[in-house]
Amino acid sequence: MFSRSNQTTAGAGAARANITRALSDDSEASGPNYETMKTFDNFIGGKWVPPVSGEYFANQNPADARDTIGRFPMSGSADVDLAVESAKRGFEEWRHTPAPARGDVLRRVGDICRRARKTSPI
Amino acid sequence: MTREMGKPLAETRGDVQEGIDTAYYASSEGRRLFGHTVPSELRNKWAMSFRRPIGIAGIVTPFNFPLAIPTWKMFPALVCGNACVFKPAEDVPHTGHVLVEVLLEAGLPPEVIQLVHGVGEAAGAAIVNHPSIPVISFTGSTDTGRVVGEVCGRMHKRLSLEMGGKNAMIVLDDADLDLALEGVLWGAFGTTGQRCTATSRLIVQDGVHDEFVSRLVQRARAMKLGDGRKPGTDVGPLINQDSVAKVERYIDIGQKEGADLLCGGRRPDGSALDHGYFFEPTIFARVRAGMRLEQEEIFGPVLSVIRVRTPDEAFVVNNDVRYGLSSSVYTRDVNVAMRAMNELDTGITYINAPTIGAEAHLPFGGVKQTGNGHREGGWEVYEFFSETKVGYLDFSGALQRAQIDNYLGTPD
Repeated sequence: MFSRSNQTTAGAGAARANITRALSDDSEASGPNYETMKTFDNFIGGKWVPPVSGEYFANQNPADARDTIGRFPMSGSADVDLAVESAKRGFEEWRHTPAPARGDVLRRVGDICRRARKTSPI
Repeated sequence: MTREMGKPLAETRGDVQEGIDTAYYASSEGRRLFGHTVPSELRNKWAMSFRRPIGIAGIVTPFNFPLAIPTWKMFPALVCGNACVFKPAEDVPHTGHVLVEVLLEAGLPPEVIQLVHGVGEAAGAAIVNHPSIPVISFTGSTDTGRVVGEVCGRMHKRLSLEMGGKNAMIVLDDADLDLALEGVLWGAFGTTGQRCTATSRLIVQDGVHDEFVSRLVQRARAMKLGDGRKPGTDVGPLINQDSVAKVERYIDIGQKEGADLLCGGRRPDGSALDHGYFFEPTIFARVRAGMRLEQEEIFGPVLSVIRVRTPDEAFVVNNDVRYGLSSSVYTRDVNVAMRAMNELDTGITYINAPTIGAEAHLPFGGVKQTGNGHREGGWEVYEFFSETKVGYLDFSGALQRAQIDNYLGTPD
């Protein structure tokens, strides 16, 4: 477990690059820690936020445990409480959105994943 | 995904494809979400049912399909109008992170999705126990599922559980052995045996047993272990050290129970694999029905071979476990195939195909201690993530009593 040292606030461009890399499945296999280890956050209340505890856990590559992919929040009930308060507001908005419009969001999800896969080097 | 989960790239691509298919299926469901309009028993009155969202859905997912399983749960939940609090498995948090990025880029209102990372005992338990989360969808071990079930039962929550399996492939004397061989290799050792639907038992009829097992061992020994991102890798690592320890425990149990270890049973040699959680494809023969090796879920590349004399004996062995997710029969006899469809106590039965390979638009789930009666995928999951509401509209302008309140006026 790690204490928080920095926060990643990826913008839309960085997020897109991240999506493409992840769905294309990464890059060439190479040695451990070929990429600087990142700190990832929870997404609560419409923002990327650190865990209330400030604690993180390491996510390792099972093919090579020396390769740590990133640090992720060690969340607990305080984080879930915040998530639920936000989700209540989200639910009020979302349940009044017509179901076909809700479906349109998921169609775009499919489109984004297909595009990300196409632009992959593999 | 392969970097954090380990499966070979071809399987990762399949995982992503499943997510894409689920997204498009869910998208189209937004234009259905069918209710019923039925005749009323009274004049000038309409009766109908329709579907309403439930509220906040708690989504707790496992490591083995880092993208596909969260999409199976979240996309139907979202189309039905629910908000989601999502906790991906702590072994694959990055794929969960990316999935949320995709949802946001697609235009999902930000407060509709909440991503809470962490371990099951803390973040997962907090979601399951939260009084404002009325619906929980969980995939994981039967032991954890039991705890989740107890909590949800006490709190009157709606709960969908997908848990353990001890799936069997049955190879009968008239089977196409070449086909069955490819099937069992894929079913048993694909995803390093870490699919809920993985083939962990091979039930073989007497007449083909020796030949089939001999060919199988030869092929299993030739499978290439390695980093899933490298070309030519057949089998990736197990997910973590706990998983390796569990598999090693069952190797020990199997040998003590008197089963014959034909291949594998250990971690591989080779410096390239020293730092990963690799385990050799393992086959035990002379496994008897009732052994722990044959009864308990291992969730690794361990296949137990059981010899039977007849198709009926094969069906009995298949059914004599506490799980009931997937089963498979290789035969050219259509009568036996159809009987198997009826007799095998599993939520899914494949004929002439391995125990793995669910399609996104069909219901997925198991019987007995694999699940709790709900299904993911297909059309049934939309019923799980929505409430049925019935509406009556009386446009007669008079007080009309339905039959339940008007029985005196109803002739016998």
